[in-house]
Amino acid sequence: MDTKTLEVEYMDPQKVRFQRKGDTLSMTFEGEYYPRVELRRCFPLAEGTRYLSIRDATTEDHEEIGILYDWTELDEDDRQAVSTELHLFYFIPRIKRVESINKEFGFLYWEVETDKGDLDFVMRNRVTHYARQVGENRWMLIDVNKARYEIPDLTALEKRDQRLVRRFLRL
Amino acid sequence: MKKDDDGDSPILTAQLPMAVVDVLGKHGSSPDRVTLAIPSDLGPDGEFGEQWLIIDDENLWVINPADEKDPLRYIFTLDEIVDAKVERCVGNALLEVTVRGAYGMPEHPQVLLHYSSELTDKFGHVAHYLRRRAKEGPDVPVPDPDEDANRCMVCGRHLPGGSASVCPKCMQRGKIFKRLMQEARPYWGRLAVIVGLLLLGTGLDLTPPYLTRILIDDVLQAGGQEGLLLWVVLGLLGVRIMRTLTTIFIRTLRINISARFTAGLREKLFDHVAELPIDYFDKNHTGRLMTRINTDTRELQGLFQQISVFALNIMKVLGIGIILFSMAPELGLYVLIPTPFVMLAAYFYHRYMRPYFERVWSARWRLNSMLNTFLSGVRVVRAFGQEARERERYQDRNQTMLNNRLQVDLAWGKFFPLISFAFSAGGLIIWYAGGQAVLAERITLGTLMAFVGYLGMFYGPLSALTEVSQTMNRFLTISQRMFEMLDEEPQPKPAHPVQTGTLEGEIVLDNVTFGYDPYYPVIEELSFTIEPGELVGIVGHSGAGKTTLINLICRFYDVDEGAIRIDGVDIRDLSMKEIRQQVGLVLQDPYLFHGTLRENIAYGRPDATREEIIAAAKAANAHEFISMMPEGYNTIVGKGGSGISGGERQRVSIARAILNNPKVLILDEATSSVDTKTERKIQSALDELVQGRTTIAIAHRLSTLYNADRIMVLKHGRLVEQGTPQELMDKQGIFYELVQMQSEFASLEGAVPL
Repeated sequence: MDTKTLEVEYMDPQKVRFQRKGDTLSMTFEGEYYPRVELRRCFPLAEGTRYLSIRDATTEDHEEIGILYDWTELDEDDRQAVSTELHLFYFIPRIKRVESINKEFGFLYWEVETDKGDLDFVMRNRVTHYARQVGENRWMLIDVNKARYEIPDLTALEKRDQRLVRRFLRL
Repeated sequence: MKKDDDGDSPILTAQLPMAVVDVLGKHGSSPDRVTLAIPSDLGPDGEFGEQWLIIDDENLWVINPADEKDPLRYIFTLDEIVDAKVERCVGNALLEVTVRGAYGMPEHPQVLLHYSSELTDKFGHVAHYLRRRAKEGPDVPVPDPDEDANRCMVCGRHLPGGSASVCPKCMQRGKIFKRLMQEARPYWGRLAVIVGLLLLGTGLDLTPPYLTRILIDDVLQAGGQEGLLLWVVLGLLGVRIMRTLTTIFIRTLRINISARFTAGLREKLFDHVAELPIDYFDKNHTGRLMTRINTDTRELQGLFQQISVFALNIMKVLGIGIILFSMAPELGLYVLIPTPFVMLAAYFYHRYMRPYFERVWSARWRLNSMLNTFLSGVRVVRAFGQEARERERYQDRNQTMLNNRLQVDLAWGKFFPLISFAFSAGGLIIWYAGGQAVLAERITLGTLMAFVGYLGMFYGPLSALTEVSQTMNRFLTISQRMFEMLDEEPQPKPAHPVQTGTLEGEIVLDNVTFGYDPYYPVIEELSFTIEPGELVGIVGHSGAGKTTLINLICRFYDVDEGAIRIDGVDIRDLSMKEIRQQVGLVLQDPYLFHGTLRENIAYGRPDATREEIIAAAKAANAHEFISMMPEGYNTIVGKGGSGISGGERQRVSIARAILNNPKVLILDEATSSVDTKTERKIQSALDELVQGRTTIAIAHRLSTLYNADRIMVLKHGRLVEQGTPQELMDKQGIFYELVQMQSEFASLEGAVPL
């Protein structure tokens, strides 16, 4: 087996340049130009700014070019480009308020207020599958379209909203 | 998402925002040139917004109406786009295109826009359209943006998945009920009897308090008619006996009807499903179909019974209400006082108590699944020495389960006495108000006693009625789901099937195009002829369309364009029976049905003699191991039967094919899942089998194709190379490459290279 694939390349933040043109993120690293790269968080739930996998999106399997240990160590412009790209790539509305939850015909109809505005979505009622506890009070909801919604801290919601969520998620 | 009112012109100018129309006008286009317009629901900043993807006869545009200064984000001529695809991000997805740059070289891919997961299918179709257009030119049909919209056609709410186009809330209850009644036609007579019996039963239920009233007022009072006592008591006894009898009749009849009706429905569903085209089974996986046929019909039966109980309750409530009011209107009003409380209590039961129960179910599910994972992964747990941690996790879940259980009991402990109080409080009001009326001689004592008696029968049915709407909804939802399944179109049968007699086995593909999704053809304009008796190997990378090709020849699916002919007859004109008899199939992972080996070998020809079965097994190299088994050919295999190895299963399935004696034989990776030694045994069985038959073999191990008359190489659903193995090796094309890769791999494994 090729030994190169066994080694993890941690990229030196000083040697990386990111650039956004339109909606496309490109990168120059060690003299090589990558016209379209994809960013993936290795630990999307736990380490927001660390272990960022940089992948070449022009290859079939989106091969990994390297890992940035902490992208906040990048220079200002690069950091801005990465931050925007991550914001676009990870679209997970955070639930701030729960307007209503209705159970009908084996589905939960949610009306919520999120950091991205007011939303409604439908989730299957098999809450043991579609509501995942990802932290002590942190929950990830997955709707019928596989879109994700996060409750960052259940205890931070208003009492009434908490009761609603607890009732329908059967907590 | 907006809906179109007009089916003929998919794009209505009125739907395009003014800003978009402006941009189009400014750049020399206009809304009536637009052939496709789809709004994305995300803006360029990654927040909810609106960007329009527009395709007209010349260009592709991305327009952001929110940007007043510079709304046009991208514009490309359609002819310069060489590739397009969608990529899933997290919680959203994106569309990227590659355009031809200077000197005609493709540029790097660039992202056009993001959209939420809800629109994945739509933009998928757009990307596919662009890709096909780049390859095949401007005549490729533009996709319809309204296909697979996932909102209700009536109210626009999110659809909860599945095949329905109308959400459960908007389904036409009356229509479903009518159809249900039609399905139940053979039972109408018995249903009428049940209704009659229910009425009779209600009447009988209402009689005893009335007789009590006579007893108290006319017999037990001073100066009463003593002679009547015996008659009244006998009357009470008679009512009791009658009531018992009607109950027995009603129950027997009810169970009889509901069980028979659902059994009939189950059978109807099964018959229908067996006729459905294979792609229905791709869209609906086995678990869901099992639920439809098994669980749903069972639940329907339960609901039937519940509904008859409701009917009884409604009659009782009405009957008692009428009697109470006619006996003493003023007391009747008092009866109504606790009614709202009783209804409320029943409502709170569902709202307040149910969540507790559901929590217990969830906790139990988590506990069970943890136990399940632990037991099936116990070796891994041991190997990594993690027993202590698993024990902790189990204790944790067990504790949650315990807590939930305690909470239920606690809640129930509080709730039940309160409910009982609400019920009995109603009685106290009557005792007080009724007592005063008796003292004032407005009513007789007997009337009061009868009242109290009726009251005891009143609140129970009343509180049960709060569940009516829920049960009815469930009932109708399930019915609708089943009707939807019954409405699926079965695979078309030829009107006048051609009788062929014995086939020669010539197979012709004439310009065949096919895709599981019409927008994504897997086979494109494929034409070839296979001579009778020829052995043809089909190779290609995964996804090249090999298995699809076989699915088409077996007519598991119908071609979209072109035709497949066996001996000059379009296979759509052959009856299914004929195709199955003439085309034999040996699959990679053969399926054995529950039953004996003998039955499995004779699956296609149950009338085969024992001699024929042994001969087939012998030819398939299966006789040796079968005859060595304790039960020989009578060994039961399949689900719940004794296990036989993959290689043995394969040989049984080959014997099955041999016995059927088909003229055309299809081998789909028949030897890919077994070790080399078994492969040789299977191979020699196959060599026997292919004699005198037209054979199409797909093989992953190319070495098994050494004796093929011809090899066809597929790539992206097209035929790119064909010839004898030697010719293709000399040509050093794709086949040569594949062989090289495998022999490298084989030498790594230490196996014999080709």
